[in-house]
Amino acid sequence: MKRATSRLVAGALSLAVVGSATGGVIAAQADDAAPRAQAAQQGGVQITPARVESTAKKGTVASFTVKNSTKDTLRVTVTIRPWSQNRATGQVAINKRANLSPYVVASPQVFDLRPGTRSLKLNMKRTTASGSLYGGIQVFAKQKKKKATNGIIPQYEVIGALRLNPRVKRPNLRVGAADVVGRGNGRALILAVRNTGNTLDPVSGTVKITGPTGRTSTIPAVSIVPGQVVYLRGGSLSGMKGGNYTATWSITQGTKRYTAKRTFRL
Amino acid sequence: MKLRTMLAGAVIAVLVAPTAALAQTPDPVSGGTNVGGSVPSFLELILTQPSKGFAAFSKAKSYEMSFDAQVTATDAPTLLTLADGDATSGSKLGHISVGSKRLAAPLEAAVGRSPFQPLDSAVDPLLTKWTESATRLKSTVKLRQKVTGKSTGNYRKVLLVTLSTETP
Repeated sequence: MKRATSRLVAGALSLAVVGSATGGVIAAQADDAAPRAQAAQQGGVQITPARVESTAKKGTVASFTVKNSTKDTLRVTVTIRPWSQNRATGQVAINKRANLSPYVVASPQVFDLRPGTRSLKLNMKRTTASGSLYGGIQVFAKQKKKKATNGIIPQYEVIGALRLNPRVKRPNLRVGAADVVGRGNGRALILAVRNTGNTLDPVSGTVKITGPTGRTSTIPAVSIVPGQVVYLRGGSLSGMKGGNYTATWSITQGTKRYTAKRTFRL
Repeated sequence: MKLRTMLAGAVIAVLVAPTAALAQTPDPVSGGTNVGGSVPSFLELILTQPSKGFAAFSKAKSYEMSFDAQVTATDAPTLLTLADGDATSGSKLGHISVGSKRLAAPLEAAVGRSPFQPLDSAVDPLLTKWTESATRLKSTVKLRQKVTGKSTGNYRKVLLVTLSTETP
């Protein structure tokens, strides 16, 4: 009887120990599960490389990967669109009303992406007359089965850059008119320049201003998309006396140099 | 005295020897080999689920909710914008709706302390701009909906969050 009691006690004790240990494990799992559940609620889309660069030629020119880090299947659409460049800042945004599908397409263009990664190829169907092509890679992703969370359905759009450089670079610029923009101390000299060549090589240089007050400024380098116009910044005009001035612009793009003289009045 | 001096000398020798040996060992980083590598350019947009509800509006007031956008970008500058994903024009643009019903006031968005911008304009509201490369930088996008009366039904809105490079 005594032995039986001791066995019972031992059994109860071992059960308690096992139970407490299991409970501990369960508790630990529950603690771990909380951040996991929280993390699963967030996710997104990534593209790499975000800047795809290659030489323009017919056929497969490059590849890139799209990753879905959400917990849902996403319907992904990839479109290559031309850039629209801001004249004042030189920054670009895709033109959503146009696409470059006659020239370059992603393969596949539309696909379902489960959580994970997929590699895509970029095929050049037709070469351009200039021999180069620059545009944005628009990766649009939406939930395959729309699930409104609190009334809001999020969609993702990630825009990378595609640079298909020419085999033979032909830098060429058309220099336009100069102007004075801004007021007071914010007055600055600008020069309109159109890229009529086929490269994205940055445009930079110096501008020498002669007149009642003399000044030499450096033009900040800017990449101009072929076909687009950007205002080169000739520096601030604050503190300069009124009168007629002549600005001599020395502009370089790669190895090519341009000189332009423009007059302006303050 | 001699023994004490010898012992002290031995102790100093033991302490100094490894230090001298360490000083002679070439630095593993600059040991004649250049260490470097290239990282492919990268763009990532992560969104968290909105916290509060915008599906039902029980009384007239200004409702607010928020979600986080986390951005990783190697090529700066990068731009985060928000737009209506349902409509690009027309009366439904920027308005939360259910079926043919829509709320009178447009949905508004803002980041940080910037003022709220309505989503019914032709220009997508600029939320944030990063001028340097970013690694999982978080921006809290605030949404505001003004409601003039009780509105029943499961209202919903598709929002298009765009992360874009600004360098061609």
